[in-house]
Amino acid sequence: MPVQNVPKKSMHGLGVLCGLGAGVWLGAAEAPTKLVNTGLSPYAISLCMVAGVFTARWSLPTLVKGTRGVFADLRANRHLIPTAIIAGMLWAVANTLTVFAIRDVGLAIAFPLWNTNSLVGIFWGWLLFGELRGAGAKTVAKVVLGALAIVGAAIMLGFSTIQASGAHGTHATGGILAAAGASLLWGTMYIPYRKAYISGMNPLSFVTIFTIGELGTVFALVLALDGGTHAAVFHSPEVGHMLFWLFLGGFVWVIGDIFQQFATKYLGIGRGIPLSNTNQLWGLAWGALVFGELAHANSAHRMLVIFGSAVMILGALAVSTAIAGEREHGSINQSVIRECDRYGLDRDRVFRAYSGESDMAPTGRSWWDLVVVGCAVGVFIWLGLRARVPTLGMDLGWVAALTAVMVISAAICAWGLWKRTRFC
Amino acid sequence: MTELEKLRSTLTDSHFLIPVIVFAVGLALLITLH
Repeated sequence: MPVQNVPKKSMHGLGVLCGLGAGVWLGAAEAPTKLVNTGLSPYAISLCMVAGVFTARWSLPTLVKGTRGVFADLRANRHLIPTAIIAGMLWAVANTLTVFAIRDVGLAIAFPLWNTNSLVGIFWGWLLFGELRGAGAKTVAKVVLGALAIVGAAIMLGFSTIQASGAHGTHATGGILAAAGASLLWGTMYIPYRKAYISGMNPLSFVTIFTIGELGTVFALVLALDGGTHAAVFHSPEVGHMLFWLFLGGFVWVIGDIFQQFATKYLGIGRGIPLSNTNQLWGLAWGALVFGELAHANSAHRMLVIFGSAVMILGALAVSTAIAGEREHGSINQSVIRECDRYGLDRDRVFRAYSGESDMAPTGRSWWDLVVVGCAVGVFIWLGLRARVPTLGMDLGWVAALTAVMVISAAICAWGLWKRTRFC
Repeated sequence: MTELEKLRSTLTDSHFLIPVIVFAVGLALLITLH
């Protein structure tokens, strides 16, 4: 089937930038949660963090596109709303499964297992969206070996941060199943992402709906599995003092996730997930440099960190340089055409949206945008005033340095997205 | 194509059904492990 008016410009470089930027921000998202030390259950902590995610997700897209723009895109793609909701539901269940995995087999075994989500993603990308089909052996090798290198490096870096307790094993099978389940769910979660973007939906609109599925499912899990309305998260006075830090973690996570969405759009699943998974490197940097988690590590331990970091960088480099060729682009374009034919969409419009061009008229801002952003900022200020400043020792010099890296990476990604796509 | 037809097409698409099945498996696993 001939494809006409398919834009020729490559978005590979922009997608790589977004994938690496996502890694920086997703890795940093864990840092604020380290400041929280309470007896709350993992369900409760997850609910608080996702509430922060929810707040940020309704504010950042508003700042960038305005509510009119987001809702206009949603109206044009109403049929894709269920896919965004199921993606959020998958995230929530996967995140909870990791809690069980850590409980039953420990992080050392669980973490490598759920990090194989990139391999699950490569499989779905190949099977459903034509990724890597028609690609040369060198390109396939770069993606697959690069992803394997990143998984391997994540295992090494994960081991380096583990305080081994050895007290696991009574529910080992269940723990392994939980970790494998999390991998399957987090790898499958990218199917709805990709479907939305090859149908012309904007990532900022998608995440706005994604968060409803995410928050609703986490809330339901707390009600069903964590004590219902009597759950401590709804009654404990301690919650108010730590909410700010969990909301801050959620806020940082949202920025990383937005870049991850654009990486998925412009690179595909197979390349986007491995690059986002470099977040482990940045999570380790925060743990080791800011919180001194490797202060008592021996030389073998430090070598593991250095070797793991080097392997991860090489893996990211391999994936980054695996540029899709003409034949692979043709295969991916067929999956775009499939969506157009399935829903009777205008091919030209969808291909333009897929390649970062929008023909939607500028919608402007409304007074409602100011209310939404004002409410979100107000929530953060209110929580900040109630927050208890942690006594945990931190290296403020490294906090400043890593924060600078985050700001610079976000600025580069945002500038690239604005200049080339106007966040389309 | 009406919006209802588009919605029906989404709900019967493998791109939607596979995540739904995986979600059901994950939820069943979670309930079993709890």
